Amino acid sequence: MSPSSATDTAKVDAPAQPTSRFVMGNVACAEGALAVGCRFFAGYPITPSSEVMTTMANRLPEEGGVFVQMEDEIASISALLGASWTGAKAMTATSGPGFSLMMEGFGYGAFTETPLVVVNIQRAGPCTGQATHIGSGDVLQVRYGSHGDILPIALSPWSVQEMYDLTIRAFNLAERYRVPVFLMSDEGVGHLRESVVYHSDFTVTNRLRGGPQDEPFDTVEPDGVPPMPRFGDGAKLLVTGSTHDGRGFRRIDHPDVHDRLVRRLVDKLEHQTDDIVRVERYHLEDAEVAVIAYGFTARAAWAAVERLRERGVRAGLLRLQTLWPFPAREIAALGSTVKRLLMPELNLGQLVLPARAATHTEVVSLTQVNGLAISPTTIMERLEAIR
Amino acid sequence: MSESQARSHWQLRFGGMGGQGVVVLGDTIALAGALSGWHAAGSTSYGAQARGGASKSDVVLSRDPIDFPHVEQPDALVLISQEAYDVYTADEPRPPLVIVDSFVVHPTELGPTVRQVEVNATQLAIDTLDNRQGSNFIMMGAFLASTGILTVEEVDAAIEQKMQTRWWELNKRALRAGFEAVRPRSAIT
Amino acid sequence: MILDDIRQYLRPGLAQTTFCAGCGHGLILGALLRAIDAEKLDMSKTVFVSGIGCAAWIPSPHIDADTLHTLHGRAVAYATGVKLANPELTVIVVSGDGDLSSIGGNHLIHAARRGVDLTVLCANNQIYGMTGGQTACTTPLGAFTSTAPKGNVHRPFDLVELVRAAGSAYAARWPVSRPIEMTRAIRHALQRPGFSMVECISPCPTHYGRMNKQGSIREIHAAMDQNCITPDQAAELTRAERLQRIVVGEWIDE
Ligand SMILES: Cc1ncc(C[n+]2csc(CCOP(=O)(O)OP(=O)(O)O)c2C)c(N)n1
Ligand code: SF4
Ligand SMILES: [Mg+2]
Repeated sequence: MSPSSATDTAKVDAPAQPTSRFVMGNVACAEGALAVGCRFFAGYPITPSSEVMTTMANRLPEEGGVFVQMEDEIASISALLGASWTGAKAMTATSGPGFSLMMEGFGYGAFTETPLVVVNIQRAGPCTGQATHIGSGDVLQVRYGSHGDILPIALSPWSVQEMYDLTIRAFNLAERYRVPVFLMSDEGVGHLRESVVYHSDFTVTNRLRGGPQDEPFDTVEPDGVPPMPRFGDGAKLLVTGSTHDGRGFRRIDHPDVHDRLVRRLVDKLEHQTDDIVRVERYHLEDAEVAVIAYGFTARAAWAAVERLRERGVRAGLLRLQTLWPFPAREIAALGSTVKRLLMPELNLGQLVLPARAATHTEVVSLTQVNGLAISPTTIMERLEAIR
Repeated sequence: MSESQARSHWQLRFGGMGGQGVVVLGDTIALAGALSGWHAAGSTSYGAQARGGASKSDVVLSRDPIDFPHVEQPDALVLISQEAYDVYTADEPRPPLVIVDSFVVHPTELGPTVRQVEVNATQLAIDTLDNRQGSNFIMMGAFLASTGILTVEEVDAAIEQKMQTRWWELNKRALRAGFEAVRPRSAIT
Repeated sequence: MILDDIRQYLRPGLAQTTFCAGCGHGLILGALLRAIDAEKLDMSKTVFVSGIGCAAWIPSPHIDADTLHTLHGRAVAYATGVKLANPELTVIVVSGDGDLSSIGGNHLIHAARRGVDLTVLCANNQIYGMTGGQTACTTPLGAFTSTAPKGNVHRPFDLVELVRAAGSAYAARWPVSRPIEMTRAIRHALQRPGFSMVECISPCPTHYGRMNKQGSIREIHAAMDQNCITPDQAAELTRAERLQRIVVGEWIDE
C-alpha cells in the first residue's frame, strides 16, 4: 500500500491515472481546501508554508472565494474568525513563529465554537530557528499553547495525497464539531512532491444552522454541538470570547456557567474519539517491537520496519494520523501486545509523554532536533537495540 | 541497459548552483517517472542554498510504493556546478554514477567504483542549439543515455505537461543532443 | 438615559448599560443608534464588531443585531474578515482608543490602507478604562494615570492624522459634548464607501477624571467643549499645542 488516508487507499496506487498530478504537499493542501468548499483564506507569508498561500492566491478567486494577505498572523486568524461567522469555510497556513502569534485566536475559536482550519507546516524551532528545515516541535503547543483548558483536533499527514485528503477531513471535522482544526504537517511533507489524485470521492460536512428555538452556544446534552447561525440571517447573534450563556450573553461572574461551558467544549470532542481518532497499523499482527510515529518521520519508520522485516525482525508501525485527541486507547492496546515501543520525534520528546501515560509498556524516545529528517537507518538501529 | 531496466528503485540527485534549474530537472524526471508508471517522489533543498551555493533536487523512482521519499544514497548524480560536485561527490559511500557538465565542472579522481560521464553540455548547447539555456536538458539526455531509466519520449511527455509551450522545442532538442552525445560511450562501458 | 427614539435598536431585556455614571461611552451608543436610524440601516444586515475594553461593550450586548465581541486589539482584523467574506453586510467597529490604536494599531492602519469598507468608531477616553486607568497611546502629555503617577511623558497619537496618512476615505473627530455633530459625522462615515473612522472623545470620570481632578461631569463636558478648536485654528498652533486641544471636524479624502 502506498501511504494514503484511511478513507481512500486505492487511488494513489495508480499514478498514471488521468486525474493524477505530481505536486508539492503544500499545493495539494490548497487544492483539498478548495475541493471541500473553502472560500476564504487569510494569511501572512512564512517558510515553509508559503506555497499553500500562493496557491490559494491564484486558485481561490477562480473558485469564487476571497483571498487576503493580512498584516500579520494575528490579523490572519482574526479575519478567519470573522469570516467563519458569515458562514464561510475559512483557512490559513503558517509555520512556527506565526503559529505562536495565533495562539490567542485559537482560544477564541475554541471558546466561541467557530469552525476553521489552520495549517501548520512545522519547521525547526524554537524561535526563528531553521526556517527551511523540518521539525515537529509544535505538537504540544497545539494542545496546550493557548491559555485555559481547550482540546484541539490536530491531524498529521504523511504524504502529498494526505495533504489533500486530510485537509478535506479537517474542514469536515471543523464543521461537524464547530471547532478550529489543525493540520499539523511539517516541512518534509509540505515540500515533498508526489503523485496525488484530486478525487471528489468524499462527503462534505456543513455546519448546522439551526432555528430560532436553538441556542447557538449550548445544547441540552452536556457534550453536544450547538447549531451555528451566521451573520446577516437575522439571528442577532451575540458572539463573545468572554464566558457566555447559551444565547451568548456574557456571564463573567457565574461559576456554574463557566464550569459547564469549559467542560462541554472539551467533552464534545473527548466523547467522540471513535469518530475523530485515526491510526494506521503496519505489520503489527505479530510484532514484538513497534514504532509509534507521525508526519514525515512516519515515512522513515515505515521504511525501517519494512527493511527489518526483510531481515526477519518482527517490527511494526503504528502511524498516528490524529494527534489530538490523543490516540491513547490505540497505544494502550498496542502496548499490551509488544515488548517495547519506540517513538521517534523531531523534537526533544513531546508526544512520547502522552504515549507513556497511555501504556505500561516501555516507550523509548528517539529525538532529533538538527533540522534534518530522521533517517530509516537511525530508526532501524534503535529498534534493533531495544528489541 | 538491460540491467538498468530491471532495476526497481532509483535514488537520483541533481546538483548545481541556486537558480541554475536543478529543481526543474528533478521535477521533470520525477514527473516523467510518475507518468510512465513509476512511483515518484521529489524534494529540493531550500533556503540559504536556494540563493547560491550548492543546491540540489532529489528524486526517488520506484516500482513499489515509496516508503521513505528522500534520497539516502544516490545511485546517480547529475552535477552542473563545481561547488555541487565538490559537495556531493564527497559523500560516503561514493555514488556509482556521476554525470557532469565538463564545461563548468573539472572532475577529480573518485576511485574505481565511480563511473564518471563528462558531457560538455554548455558548449554543446551554444554550438548546436545556439542557446546556452539548453545545457540542462542536454544533461538530462546524457542522464537518460547513461541510465536507461526512462526514454526520451517519456521525458517529452513530462516537458509537455510541466512547461510552457515555448520551451518544448528547445528542451526536446537538447534532450536528444545530450542523449546522442553519451550513447556511444555508454554502450562501450 | 435610554430614550424612546432608539429603544427599538436595543436588545430586549437589558435594563441598563454597565457603564459608570458620567461615562461618555453611553452617549456614543446614542449617537451611533441615531445615525443608524437616520440612515435607515437594515439591522439584520449590519454587524457590530468590538474588541476588549469598556468601549467594546458599547455594541455588545446592547445593540439588537449581530455582534462580534472579539479579542483585545483585534476588532478591525475580525471586521475585515466579516466584510470581505460577505460584502453585503454593513460592518461597524466600535472600540476603545487602547484597543484600536495601541494593541490593535497595526490592524487599524492596514485596514485604512486596504480601503476595506468599514465604519470605525473609536471611543477615545485617552486612557485604559477597563483595566484601571493606565496610560494609553492617546493620553495627553502631562496627564496623570495609574502608570504615569508623575504625569505622562510620551506624546499621544493624533488618530485622525494617523488614519488619513494610512489612506482613510473619511475621518472625523467630535467629543460627546457635541452629540449632534457626532451623529452627523457617523452618518457621513456610514454613507462613505471605503474605510471611515470617527474619533469620539469620551470622558472616563472614574479614572481619568479622578486622577486629573477634572471635577463633576458637567465641568468635564464644559472643559471638553471649550477645548475644541477648528482645523483653521489648529493651523495656527504648533504640533505640541495642537495635541493638547481637540481639533474637531471632518476630513474627507478621495
Ligand atoms: C491581550 C490582552 N492584553 C491585555 C488585556 C487587558 N485589557 C482589557 S481592556 C484593556 C484596555 C482597554 O482600553 P480601551 O480600549 O481604551 O477601552 P476603555 O476601557 O478605555 O473604554 C486592556 C489592556 C486583554 N484583555 N488582552
Ligand atoms: S471605567 Fe471609565 S470608561 Fe469604563 S465605564 Fe467607567 S467611566 Fe466609562
Ligand atoms: Mg480607552
